[in-house]
Amino acid sequence: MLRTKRKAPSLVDLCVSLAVENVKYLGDVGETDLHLLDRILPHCTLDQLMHIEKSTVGRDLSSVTDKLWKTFYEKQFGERSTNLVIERMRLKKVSFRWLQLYEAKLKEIAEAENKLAARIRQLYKKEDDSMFFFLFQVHKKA
Amino acid sequence: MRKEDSVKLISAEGFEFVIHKDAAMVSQIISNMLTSPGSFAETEHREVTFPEISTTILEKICQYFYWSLQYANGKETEFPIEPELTLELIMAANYLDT
Repeated sequence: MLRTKRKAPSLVDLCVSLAVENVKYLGDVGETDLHLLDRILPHCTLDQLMHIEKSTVGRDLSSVTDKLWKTFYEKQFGERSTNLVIERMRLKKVSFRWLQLYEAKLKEIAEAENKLAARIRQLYKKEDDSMFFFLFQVHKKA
Repeated sequence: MRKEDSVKLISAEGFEFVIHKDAAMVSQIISNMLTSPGSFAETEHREVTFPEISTTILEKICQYFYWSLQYANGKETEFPIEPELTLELIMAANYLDT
């Protein structure tokens, strides 16, 4: 009987699909070749990719991950904000990695929230003061 | 297995794996090393040393060679890989063009 012979999948391909399946366990990717990481890392969630970036020391993964961070940035902060950042970088003739931009944006949002909270606290304080004054007046009259 | 049909692969720690040359030929790189013209040590002694591949990984690679031959002959099973070996194995496999 004639059998059609099938070529076995390459070991690289087997490892890549296994790594994709277990992407949540990836941390320091060591010296893994960039073209291999390029096949694995697009399957990460934002948190998984952040974990890999922070765990991998002494190595810049941005040539593989920059485009992924841009997508995350766009998904989280919207297309308008993304285009604004691109326009600003163009005008100022500077360029930042999208991971940096993402982290800067998070910080900016946190600061804005803090400022807002402080303002609200202050407003309440003013209110409290006037309430105190009001009660004081009432007390004096009585 | 006759001696002339075997090749020896040596790991970083010096561990020797003697496998059939058909299995070793699964790797294009090893195949080139063993068949290149001229009298390279690899061609003459039919042995190749991999100073950057650990014993665990080289053993896995030898298993893959045999699995790959079986697969090509119609025995299509799954090749087991321990998840913790993935990254190290992927680099060695990439290096060996396997």
